[in-house]
Amino acid sequence: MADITRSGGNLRKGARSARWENARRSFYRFRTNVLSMLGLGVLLLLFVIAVTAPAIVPFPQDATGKLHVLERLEPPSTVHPFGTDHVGRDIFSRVLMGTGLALKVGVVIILMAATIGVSLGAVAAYAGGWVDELLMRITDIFLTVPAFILAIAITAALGKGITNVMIGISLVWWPGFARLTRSLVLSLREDAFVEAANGIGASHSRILFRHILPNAVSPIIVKMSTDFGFAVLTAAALGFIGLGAQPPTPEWGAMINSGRDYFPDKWWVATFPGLAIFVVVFSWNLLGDGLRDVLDPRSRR
Amino acid sequence: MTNNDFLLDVRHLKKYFPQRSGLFNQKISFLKAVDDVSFTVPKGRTLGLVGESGSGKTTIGKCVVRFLEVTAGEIRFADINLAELPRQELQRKRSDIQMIYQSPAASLNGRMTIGQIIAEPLWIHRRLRRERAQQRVLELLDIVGLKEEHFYRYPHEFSGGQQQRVGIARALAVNPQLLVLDEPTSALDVSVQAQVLNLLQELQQEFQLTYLFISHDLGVVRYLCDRVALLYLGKIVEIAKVGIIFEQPKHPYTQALISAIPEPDPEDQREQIVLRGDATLARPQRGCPFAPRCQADKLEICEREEPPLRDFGHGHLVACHLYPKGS
Amino acid sequence: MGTPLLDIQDLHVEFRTFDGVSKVLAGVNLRMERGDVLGLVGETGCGKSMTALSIARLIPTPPGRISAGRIHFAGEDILEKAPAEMQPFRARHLGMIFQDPTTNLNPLFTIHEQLIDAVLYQRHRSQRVPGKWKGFLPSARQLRREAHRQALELLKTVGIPDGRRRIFDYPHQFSGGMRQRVLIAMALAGDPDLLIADEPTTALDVTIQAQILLLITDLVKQLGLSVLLITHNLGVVAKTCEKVAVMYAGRVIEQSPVQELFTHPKHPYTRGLLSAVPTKRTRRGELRGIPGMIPNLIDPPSGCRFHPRCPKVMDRCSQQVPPLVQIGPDHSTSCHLYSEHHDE
Repeated sequence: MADITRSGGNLRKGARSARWENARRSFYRFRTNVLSMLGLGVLLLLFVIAVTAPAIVPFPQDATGKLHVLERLEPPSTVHPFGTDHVGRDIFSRVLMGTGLALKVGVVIILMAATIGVSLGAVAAYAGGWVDELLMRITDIFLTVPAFILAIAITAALGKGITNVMIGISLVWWPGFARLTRSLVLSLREDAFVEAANGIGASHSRILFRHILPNAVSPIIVKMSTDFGFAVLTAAALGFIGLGAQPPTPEWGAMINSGRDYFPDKWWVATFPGLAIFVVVFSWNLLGDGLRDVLDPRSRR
Repeated sequence: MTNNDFLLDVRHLKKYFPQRSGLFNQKISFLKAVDDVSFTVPKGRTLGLVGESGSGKTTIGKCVVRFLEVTAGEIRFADINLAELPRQELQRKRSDIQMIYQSPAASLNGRMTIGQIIAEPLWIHRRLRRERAQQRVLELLDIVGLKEEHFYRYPHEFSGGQQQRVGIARALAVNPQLLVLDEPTSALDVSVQAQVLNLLQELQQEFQLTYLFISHDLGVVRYLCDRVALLYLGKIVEIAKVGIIFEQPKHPYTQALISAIPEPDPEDQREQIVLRGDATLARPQRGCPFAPRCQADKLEICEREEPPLRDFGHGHLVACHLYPKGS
Repeated sequence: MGTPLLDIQDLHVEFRTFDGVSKVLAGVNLRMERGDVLGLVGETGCGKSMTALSIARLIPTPPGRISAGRIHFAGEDILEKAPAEMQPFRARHLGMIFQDPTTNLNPLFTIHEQLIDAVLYQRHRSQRVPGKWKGFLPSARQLRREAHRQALELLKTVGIPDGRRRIFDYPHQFSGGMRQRVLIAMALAGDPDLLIADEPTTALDVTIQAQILLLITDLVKQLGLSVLLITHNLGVVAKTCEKVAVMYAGRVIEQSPVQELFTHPKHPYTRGLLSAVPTKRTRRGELRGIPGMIPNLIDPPSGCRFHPRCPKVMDRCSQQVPPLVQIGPDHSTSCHLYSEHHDE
């Protein structure tokens, strides 16, 4: 029998190279999709902007409260590439400074919604019976109320502020994840490898977390990335109606709202924040599409 | 023979599936997938369960491993009735009875490495960690004819034959006594099938394993099994030592089945018994379930009464009115 | 003798994949005369299905490509034809049936609809098939009535009892064996010269398989049909075929009358295959597989593709592709053990 201690080193190397090989293949498939790469590129750019914004924008103080009422509503120029708003603040600086906030809002909402939704959906599908019925009826209740109205109601009840916006939207967003997870788990539950796991004596929780969920993860991740953009959009919508971040925080939705009265003469006040939202939503969509193509383990060939 | 000689003793196993019909789903009829089946398997031996679609052979396998709950009957494994074990104890007992699946790829979790797959039962039943587990896994890889470097690879990187070996290694991990093999080689190429069959034979000898071998492939059954039970629409119609079944089959269905085996021998001049119709669509209300398709000279009683299994000596049992008296 | 029905010479087919170019067929040579029942045997990846698809020019041409070779059918050069010409050609000369009868029938349409479709397209190819609205015209109705009559005849030919009533059933109301019979009927709708059956009984029970094979044999006698029977099951070949061709990794490595293949197999792969199948006479412990695995077709072994697994391998085997050698009147094999220049 081979000397196991000696071959331990080779085995380790085998592990690294096996995983590396898999990662390389996945990335190759992703790379071949131009649009996904575009999406990824834009997102990386946005991330960099979010992190470095205070250092690179010309008028960082405009995002933290400084007003220049004398320079209000100036059109785009070399000094102010996006023009100034109704209290004279540089829109370019404010849009860029708001990037971090927008991304953070999206991430938090999606993570919260996914955590709640996936847990409930998985438990419902795996347990079946009355547990499934109960949880799905609760999901239905959340789904019958128009999402936007419900979000407004919850947020208004909790009070203004960006944190409450995130909570409100998450509570409205989770049913989608619950439904998706439920259908994935329902079909995986009947698969042969799950039966095999049962056959070797695995406990229910082991089967659910070690076998079923890892195989359900791909569509969930795809949904998470495509939903991300729409979560940002919804948060901006709530900001547009005044819930959410309060001045002077450069929240894009609120910025569009403040430009509403001056539209279409002083179009730049509302348009540039809107474009920013568009860029975020669109690039996450592209990324989501690319991930969907890549993340299917069985389509290896 | 006393009970101690039999590792597996199945008694009057029944598995009925309720079928709802009617406007409000209120009418219940039953699909009798397994209808009063009894058999025994001595330790270290192989019993073949043979049948076509609708015979119930796979259902029996699933009942023995308790993937399905029995409707009635006992599954006695070393004097314990598995059918009645509470879930806690059943889980522990699972280390004694393992299953090998028909589709090797589907039975392995594509997201786990081979090492993890084989080590899992070790963790569940023996709480082995790291080095001890890895050692045992490497041992098992060697036993089934795989290489060390396969440890960190994923199932999809292997061929069907290799994947099935992984399944076998996983099954052997905690030293089972009984293996239920559900068409283990049907999905494999001929040359690979031979490799796996040889492996199964070696393993049986080396580890004193008992096999319940479910298959529709009579050639393979003839090669591997000591005793064979033929199933038709949920009942055993004939059960005997493998030599007897193939040389002197008594039941008309057995005879038809054996004559239908495509033998790789062009000189083979057997009489062809060609059955008409199809098993599942021809289930009669009364009498022998095989009567509608039976090519032998049927008696009047065949349409009226179901024939019981009668003993012809040396463990050869036949359920057919053409053989009214046992030995 | 006349022209052979099917003459494939040195056929090469490639597929572009993520990992490289897969040389799926590497010089296939195959001949069939009219009235032959030829079994094409091999394991996964040997190229038998690919060969069948090539004859019908059904290989998807973006990833796939016929890179070399000739296919002649009843004297006509298949590879020269334009895609538009292939459709009527297929309808007139070829009938194909595949492995799984369940997925090959559309579950949403009755057998009647599907059979009529087959008859109208294949037998009445000269007339344009009436579309949805034109279907109400008297000429179209006449056509459909004729097709219906022919469909019933086909059902009778393939042995489906009570065809008049059952023709209006849906596929799921038929059993597996019956569905396969319907598919055979559809394949015969155009009165083809050659029936290509790709694993027609693999998905069926043994007793049903016996029925279908008997049906095929009857059809050969009744209609003078030629059959290319593709299977991995040597028993099926022994039962139904007169001639056999064995394929391995993209090449035909032995071809002979069926009797001779089993009694005097020449190629080491054929021998290995035969000893891997358990028969009446195989005793415990005698079953021998073939060591190793089917080769990767993207980077196949040089020379003879079987040489890494061959018990009789010689130096030459890895250097040169073995030539086709005539062993007997109809028996040929592609192996260096039998080539003329082989030194004893």
